[in-house]
Amino acid sequence: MIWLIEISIILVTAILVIHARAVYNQSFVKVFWISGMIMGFLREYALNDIMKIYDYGDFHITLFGLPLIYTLFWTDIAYIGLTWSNNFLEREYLKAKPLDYHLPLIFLTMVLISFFFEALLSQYGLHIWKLDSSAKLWGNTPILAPFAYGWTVVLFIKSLKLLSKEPQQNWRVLVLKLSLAQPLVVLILAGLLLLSNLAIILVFS
Amino acid sequence: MNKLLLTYLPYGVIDLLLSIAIISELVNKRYDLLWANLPILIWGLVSLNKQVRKMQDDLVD
Repeated sequence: MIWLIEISIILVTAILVIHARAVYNQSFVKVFWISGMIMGFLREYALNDIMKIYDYGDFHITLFGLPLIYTLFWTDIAYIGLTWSNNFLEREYLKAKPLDYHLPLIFLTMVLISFFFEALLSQYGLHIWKLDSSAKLWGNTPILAPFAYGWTVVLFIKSLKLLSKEPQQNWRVLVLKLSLAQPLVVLILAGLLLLSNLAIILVFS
Repeated sequence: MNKLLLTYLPYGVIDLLLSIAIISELVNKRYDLLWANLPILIWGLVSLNKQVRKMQDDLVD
């Protein structure tokens, strides 16, 4: 089953790339997935290796010791969140006014994705949380998990919007700018997760 | 590519992962986890429904 989960994520990535090429263009695909994979890799390195808030199970396909599916997964669900919110609000987030309803809807989508995906991973011990918080949802998944999904994708999409404001940018320049911004995105994410966890501990203690 | 199929793709990938999750929960007899698949399914249907209606309206216009 672990193989099936890993291959499915790779298949999902291929399908979403085909969709993004048809709806946007080739440059958008490169910008979104290259910077998204960098964000995914840095995020996993920070949360797993540095902060040690969870461990991985027996993944088969790894990249520098990190499960490959995670570097793809965050970008995939970011694209899903972006598309679903665009469809619901009938307007494009990257062209919408700064304070729009997209980000709360993207956050909501991530929370709901975390509900089923963490439940799936917990059955095979693929994602073992090591937080002190006693507040748990299911399969030893802490209440922090939906926030981790939500903040990750909201910050990534926001960085994409902020840096793609300038019209007629070369996609290579945008990839470089966005990739260089990802360490900061992961740093802000780590800060938000610490604050969220503190709030959860205070509420449930 | 068919426009309706293209619209469905970002929803279909979640349906694929949901199918794996549901089959896995049934096989492992983890019926307590089945509820976790429902919220994203409903939200996906709401969002897809809105987009399909918009496409229908565009066709009428």
